[in-house]
Amino acid sequence: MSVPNISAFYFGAISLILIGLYAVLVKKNILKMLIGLSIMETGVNLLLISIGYISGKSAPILSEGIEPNQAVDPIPQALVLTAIVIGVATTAMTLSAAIVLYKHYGTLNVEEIRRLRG
Amino acid sequence: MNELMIMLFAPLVAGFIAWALDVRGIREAVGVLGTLVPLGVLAKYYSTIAGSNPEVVTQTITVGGFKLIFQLNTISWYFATIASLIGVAMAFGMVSTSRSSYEWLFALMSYTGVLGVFLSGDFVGFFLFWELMTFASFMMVLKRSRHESLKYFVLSVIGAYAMLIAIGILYAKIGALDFGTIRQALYMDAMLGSISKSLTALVFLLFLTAFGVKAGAVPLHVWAPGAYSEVDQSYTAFFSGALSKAGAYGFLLLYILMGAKLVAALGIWHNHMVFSYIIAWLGAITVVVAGFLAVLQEDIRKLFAYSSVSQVGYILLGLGIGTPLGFTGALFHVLSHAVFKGLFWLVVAALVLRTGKTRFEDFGGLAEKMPITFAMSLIAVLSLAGIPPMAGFASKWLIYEAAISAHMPLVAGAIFLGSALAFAYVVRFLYAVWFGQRPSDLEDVKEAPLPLLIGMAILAIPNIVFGVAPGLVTEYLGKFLGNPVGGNYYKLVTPTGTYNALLVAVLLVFGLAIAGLIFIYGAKTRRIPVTNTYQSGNPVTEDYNLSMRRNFYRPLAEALDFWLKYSWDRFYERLAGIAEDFADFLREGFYNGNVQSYAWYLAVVLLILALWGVL
Amino acid sequence: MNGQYASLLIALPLLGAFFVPLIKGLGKKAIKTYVLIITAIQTGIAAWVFQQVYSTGKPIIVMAGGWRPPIGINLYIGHFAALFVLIVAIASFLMAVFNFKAIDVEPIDKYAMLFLLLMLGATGMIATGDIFNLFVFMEITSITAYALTAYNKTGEAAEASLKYMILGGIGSSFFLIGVALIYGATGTLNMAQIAQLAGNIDPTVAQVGLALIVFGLAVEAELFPLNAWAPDAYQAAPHPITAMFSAFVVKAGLYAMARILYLMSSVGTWHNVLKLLVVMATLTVVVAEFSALRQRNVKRMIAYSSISQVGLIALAFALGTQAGVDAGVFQMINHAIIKALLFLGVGYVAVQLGGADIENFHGLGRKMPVTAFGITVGAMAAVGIPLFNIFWSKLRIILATVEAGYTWAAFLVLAASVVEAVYYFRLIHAIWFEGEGERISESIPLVAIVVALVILVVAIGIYPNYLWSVSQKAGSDIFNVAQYIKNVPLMGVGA
Repeated sequence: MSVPNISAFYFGAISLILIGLYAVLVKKNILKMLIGLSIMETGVNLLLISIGYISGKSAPILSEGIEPNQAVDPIPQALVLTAIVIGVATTAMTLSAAIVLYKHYGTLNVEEIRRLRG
Repeated sequence: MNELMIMLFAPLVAGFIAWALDVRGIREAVGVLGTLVPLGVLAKYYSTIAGSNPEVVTQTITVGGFKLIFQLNTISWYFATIASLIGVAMAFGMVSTSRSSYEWLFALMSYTGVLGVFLSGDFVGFFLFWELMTFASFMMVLKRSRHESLKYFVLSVIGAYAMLIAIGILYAKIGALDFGTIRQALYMDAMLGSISKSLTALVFLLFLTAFGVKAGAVPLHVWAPGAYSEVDQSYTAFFSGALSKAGAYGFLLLYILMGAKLVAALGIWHNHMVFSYIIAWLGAITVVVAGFLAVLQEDIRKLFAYSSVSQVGYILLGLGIGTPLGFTGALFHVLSHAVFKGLFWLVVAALVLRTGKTRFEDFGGLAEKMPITFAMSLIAVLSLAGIPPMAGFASKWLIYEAAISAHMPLVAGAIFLGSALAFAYVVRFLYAVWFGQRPSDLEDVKEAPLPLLIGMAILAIPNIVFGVAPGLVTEYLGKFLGNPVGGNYYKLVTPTGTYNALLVAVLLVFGLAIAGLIFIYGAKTRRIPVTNTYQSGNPVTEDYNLSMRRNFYRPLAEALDFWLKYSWDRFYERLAGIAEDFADFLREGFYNGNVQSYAWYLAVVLLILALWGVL
Repeated sequence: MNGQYASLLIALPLLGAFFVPLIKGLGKKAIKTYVLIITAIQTGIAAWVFQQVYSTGKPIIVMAGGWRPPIGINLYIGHFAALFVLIVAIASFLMAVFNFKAIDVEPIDKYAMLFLLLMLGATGMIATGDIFNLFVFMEITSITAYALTAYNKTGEAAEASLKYMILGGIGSSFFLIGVALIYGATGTLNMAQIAQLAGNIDPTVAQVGLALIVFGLAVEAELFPLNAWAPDAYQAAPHPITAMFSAFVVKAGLYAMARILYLMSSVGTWHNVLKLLVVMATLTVVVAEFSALRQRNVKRMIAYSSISQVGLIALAFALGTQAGVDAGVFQMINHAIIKALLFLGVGYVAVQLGGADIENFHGLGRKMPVTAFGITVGAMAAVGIPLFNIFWSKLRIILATVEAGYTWAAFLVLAASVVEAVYYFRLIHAIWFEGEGERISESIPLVAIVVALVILVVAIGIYPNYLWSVSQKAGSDIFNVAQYIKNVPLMGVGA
């Protein structure tokens, strides 16, 4: 099994984070910003996994023929599972807030949603 | 619990009781009682403090990890006693003038604050009571005027925070907060020089701001006229008579704690200590500027407010001379200003209470209606104008002598000018309010009520006693200043002059008696028409009608036109306006409501983290 | 009693929240009473834990599932956590009382659940001894906070919530990266072990990780310029929730920041991070105070004031000295009391008079004298008038700041405090000396709370000794990392 160099994962993860950040910073549509946020979270999760990844080892699931020292670090994977759950919750929250916002403001343009200011 | 604590907190507790009960009669009784306690305790300790071998009474308590030291020594006893005297007079005055438990609470709270400032032997207690006193007096002003109280509060808070930073710097450098250690450490450091010159100068500047605000030194005086006018006038007696002395006390403290270090750091210029010279000039400018402004006022409260500022300038000036003689004069003036200005404010309180008016043009001929009050105000006028044999003369004379013997002719000139101005405005007060034609609506004015008269008497007596026997004060002050003034109780002898108060008093009484005899037996009276007043050849027109009661000093105002264009008041107001606009700019610019810009802030911080080498 | 019972602090609100649906049918009042009971029990447990920790002087270490750290996740209830868990519980209890008046919007059962979870999240953040567990609790706190911010269902509430979510989301993502980096470098998530190993890891990685964690937490801790969500959220959230935000949610973030900061104090480039924090904290104070100056909405004004005070606490923590941390903890306690009082008062006024605009406060002294008195005391205390509690902590912070060599920061902070004095002054003047009004009857329980808090404020102001000694112990709990490491029974350290 040929696995790309670990730095490729880092590169990918950081690219995802930056792409997400770009969307949050530049897109005017709230939904697009939220999508950016999700992409960013995915990037972070990927980064976490990559940190725990050891080239050429298998998933940390206790099964036949795999000794503990042949598996990758399980902790980051546990973390990522939690983080994904949290991410889903956040996304659900943000989207529902966006729905309410649209109901009240009639727009999703971020520049028009600024009743609270100053 | 020792007596110092009782004395310190009796007024505060009394104030709370008066406030909480709020029953007419009990409120006043508790209040007066509360102010009498400190005076009693101080009297009890007189023999300990001023006896042949003086002791220092000390009490230490621990609050919140700080050790608060309270001590009664020669200086603090002196200041505390003056404050208590005024406090008692204030309480009697308030019995007549104040109907509000709110005012009792905060008047007495500020009394505790003032006592605490004088008794504190460390900077935490000093700062605490300083704030308490400021806060309480601010609440007094707040009740009457929003604008004036805000001005007072902002300046006071700036002063207090300046002091806090100075305290912090000293604490950071020395690691202690009590006066004894700081004094010793700074004395040592004057030779070692481990605290840099610029830092010392900064600390000096900060303390100067802090104490200057409270003492009302120009250009930090702008709060004083409004604040002194816009409170119960009985309280102003305390406000101007005792509370502003906290500033003077602060300056004295500056000498005691930092004197050596300041001389070492800021140097000597033409035989004058530079820092001291700055204080002296601050005082001189205050005396003259506030004196001129006082002359031009048409409202008696404003007049005495500016006059207070001007007179406290004398104290700063005396301290700034920096010789033992100067200190004696300044500290004596603390006493005499307290008693005569306190008396003045009680007189004003009586006038406001009985007539409800404050402007010169509404007064006239009240001497017949309020004879005792008139007599009291005569004493105050004589004392303030510096006419022997009143306390005011003795102290001013000492400051004058000190300035001459310290070779400060310009400063001495300021004293002289200030005295002349003081004379100008008190004469007007004397004539316009008490003599001349009485407006018809003042026909049924009654004499001031008894408690107010008691309050006045409490302050009038020291004016005369310490005027006739100024040696009582100079001898007491000589204990820690090394007896710069010779003579006995009735006679002051300085290197450059002698003043025999008793002789002057006797001569004065004698002269007055002769004048009285002549008046009774030999005087011819002549009726003068009302219109025949002060025209001096000017044609009288509707808009240029100067009389003792209206625009009397308008020619002076016209002469000073150029200078009056500039006003510190307006300057500060503009500054405040700029600050508010800046606040709006910041608020609307930063919290602009757009979440995307908020996200950008986060991104920028990340970028800064990266650029700054943290990332 | 066994210290493991302290885990009830986490379990009780969690289970309590899960059982809310069961009593849903019993009506609004029943649900509110239920919340009140749960918070009361929580207060009782917290008080017991507090008493245990402070009488024995030893922290309570709770090991989840009996696993010893660093394998298992442990709770560390030391002097700080015991103190602050108690404050969380008390504040929640008081706000549970306030719920009866302030909350009318349906669905109450969801509100109750979120309310308890918010308390849980903050408690967990303070008590946990594991950095990823911290992340989880932080997310619980913030997600419930997002939801509660939006609870009023108005457009503004949704807007505020959305802002909070976007900024909080970015913050927590970077926090997680920081955790990942630290984990990558040390191979552990246990705080004590991280502290132990911090000195040995590559300083660059440690610094980057620390900076990212601090960045993420700073969003929660409302540091400038990451605090733009805060005024909106404070303004839009239901009144009891605003009080809770200010009293402990933000403090939990601050505490977490301080804790991690000091855990990593053996990292070589640690002082750079501190300097950055000092700058941010000082700017927080200045910008927030200026923003409050011309505020027409009193709730928002006090929100800004709260942010500035939090900046002051952050400044104290960022000094890196024992004196600073002690002062910061002291200020934390005082600030929690004051802001609970102020937001309670202002919220109550807003409920009674229909809005928190300054116009509603004219003549409040006549309309609702006790509430007005409470707000006045709170305002005066916040300014730092002696005889009130903040005076002492502010004094401590300023002295510590100058002592640590940040005289400029003290200058700026005090200059901002002048501004603070001005706007609180305007509020007090509006309350007592402007406008007229008829007396409105005030609710007895709320009046009782206001009076109790006022008494507390004054009592601490007059006799701060006890609380100061508590703050010192709690402060050294944060500052003294070596002791912290020693207290946690690490299994096979370094293995």
